[in-house]
Amino acid sequence: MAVWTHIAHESLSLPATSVTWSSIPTDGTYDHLIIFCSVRSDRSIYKGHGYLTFNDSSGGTDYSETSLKTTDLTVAESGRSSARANSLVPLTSGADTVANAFAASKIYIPHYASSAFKPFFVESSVPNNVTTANRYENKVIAGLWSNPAAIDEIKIEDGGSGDWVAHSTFDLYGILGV
Amino acid sequence: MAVIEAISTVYMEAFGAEASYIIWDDIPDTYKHLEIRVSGQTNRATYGNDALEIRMGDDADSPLDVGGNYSYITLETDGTTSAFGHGGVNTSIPRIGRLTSNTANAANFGMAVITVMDYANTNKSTTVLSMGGNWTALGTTANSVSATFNSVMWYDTAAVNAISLFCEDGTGWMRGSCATLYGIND
Repeated sequence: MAVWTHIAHESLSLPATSVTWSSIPTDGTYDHLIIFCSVRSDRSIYKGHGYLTFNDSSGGTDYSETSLKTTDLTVAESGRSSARANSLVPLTSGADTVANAFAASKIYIPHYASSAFKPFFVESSVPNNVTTANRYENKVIAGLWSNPAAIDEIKIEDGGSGDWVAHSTFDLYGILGV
Repeated sequence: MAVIEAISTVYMEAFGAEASYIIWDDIPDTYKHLEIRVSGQTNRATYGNDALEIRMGDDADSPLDVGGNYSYITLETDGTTSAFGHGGVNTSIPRIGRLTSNTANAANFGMAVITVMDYANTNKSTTVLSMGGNWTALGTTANSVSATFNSVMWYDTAAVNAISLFCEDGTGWMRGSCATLYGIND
């Protein structure tokens, strides 16, 4: 029977550029990780993204991802990128989005302590109350961190020169068992 | 304390063949997030599937907000044409998934895993995510099979204390459908 453990909860009372969890156990305490994010950036955008990095590895070329998204309520678009210094997740609402709207994401990181490269999967949505294209987004992402190191640190930062606004929340869960 | 606790399961057997909706009321605000797992079939008489809708409510509602206070985004494929987007704003029938209708095979049910994110935070509108879909023997017939990623925003910033699931085109759920509401603790 799988057991979930709530490892950490961050609820911002003041704007912050990033949230970092360090010293995540890699000794078999958990098998898998799941992150729940509810975020909004203070940048003047309708929608954007954050940066996800593992083990303070930003600056390399170890991240790649494939995605499927809609931004106009009609067409779905596929995309991919590789050799990135970080992953472009989670999506975020911005200061131009309707008040009180926060983007929501779930990030799945299976077998995060294995010696293989680390795949991850993301469900992410930027809601809004308008139908104008590119002011909202639904996106699923399959990503890969091409590094065999066990993940013991996760950083989620705003994807520009902004901050996550107050009341953004981040939850990290560990799952043990199958 | 378990991180995930089952709050309530609704089985359609308890209501007869065609209950029109599922509802949970007086949901405590003590969890961080809510999750709903649905296996369902609706009584829609045409096509192979039906849209699954969600409404929420707070203490001021009785018990649900039935006004045009929701928006939704769908990323979906019907298994034949290219994947597509769909959505709406200021609506009272926000789509959160797709279930099987009973036109194809009585044994086929659609499913959805629905996450109601940070539902008790009164500083933000509530955003809901859902992954799911359905299969029927109608195969490539339009509106019959699906794989979907949906989101819904309820504009209200009050804590959610009631949730209802219902179908868009059918008038009710078929016997054998069930849905469980879980609370995710910290």
